[in-house]
Amino acid sequence: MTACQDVGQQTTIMVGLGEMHVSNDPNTVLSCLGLGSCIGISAYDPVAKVGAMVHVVLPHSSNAGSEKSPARYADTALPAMLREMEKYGASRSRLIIKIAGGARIIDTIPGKSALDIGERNIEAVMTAIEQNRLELKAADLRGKMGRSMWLYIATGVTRVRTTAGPVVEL
Amino acid sequence: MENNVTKEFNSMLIWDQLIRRGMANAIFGLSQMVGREFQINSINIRQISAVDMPELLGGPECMVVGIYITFSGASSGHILLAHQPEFAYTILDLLIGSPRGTGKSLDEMSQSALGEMGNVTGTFFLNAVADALGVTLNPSPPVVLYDMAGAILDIALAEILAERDDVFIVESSFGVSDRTIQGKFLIMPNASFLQLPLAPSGAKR
Repeated sequence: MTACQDVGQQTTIMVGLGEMHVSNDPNTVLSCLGLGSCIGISAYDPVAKVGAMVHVVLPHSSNAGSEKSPARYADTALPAMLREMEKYGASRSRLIIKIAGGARIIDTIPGKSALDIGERNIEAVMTAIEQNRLELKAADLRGKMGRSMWLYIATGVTRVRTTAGPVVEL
Repeated sequence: MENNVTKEFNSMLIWDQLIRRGMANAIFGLSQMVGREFQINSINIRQISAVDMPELLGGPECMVVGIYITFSGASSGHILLAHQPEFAYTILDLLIGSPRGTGKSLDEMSQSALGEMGNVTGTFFLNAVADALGVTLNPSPPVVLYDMAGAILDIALAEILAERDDVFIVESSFGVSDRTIQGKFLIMPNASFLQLPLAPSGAKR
């Protein structure tokens, strides 16, 4: 369930695990909080002033469930996001795409290749960006710490904060 | 003939007993390790949407100290002991035998002590469940983490969400007589865990 929090005139919408949100409301801030191996994708059309954020959890949809939760998987998230953004008048050719996350929070448990999920998510998101003919403008990836990411619909500014670090513009 | 609802209810009752037995053994192990008697204050066994998991730990950005263990063998899954830093420091004081309020950081020694606590509680829990079922469940070495709750949970939830939308979890809080330790002992088994045969060697119907 997408959670909302009102701060002054702005409404912050939290995009949870495997969720996607599209908005053209200038008072809205979209956020992916506490990203570990997951990847947050922000997309913004500066002409239509439409933005989207997706919280990708897994690289591929081959394990089924993608019809119900396309945003959960890197390979189905971007097409679903593009379809939704186009409904709001966004154009694929104008989209500014930024991504954050894909950390390797743990690397010391033996025999668990699944713990490389962050790297596999990065590869899958990069492939999906290329396959959907999109251009990646900025990225804050890998490392061993969690991240949070915000997209301001009014301006298209994307900000990122790494655990215990300052908020910086991406 | 038992209908499906009755079977499912009976099955959940058995799982409930098993989990409680495992938790009692985990707390027994912790008491032996520390040399003080710990009590279980609450055990809550339920199924929730994986998407809602970060809220259990105070929200996805809430900083937590997590002791993370995986298990494998007859089934697999994840165990996470998660505490807000002030409660983790309380545990450290108990583990190291320091006066209350001494622990204030997670240095190497502190991480090692917390890891050993995770090792003991995780192993004692798994041994009790495995013995009752007549199977083998092997814990991994513990990893101590200090990060956003969402980032820590990603490790387990990515694996669980590849199989299903909901997580079967066990929440528990525990403490000693003069100190309350709020936190979560989360057991997040993969789907195969609930399909383990409920063997008669202890987990009696």
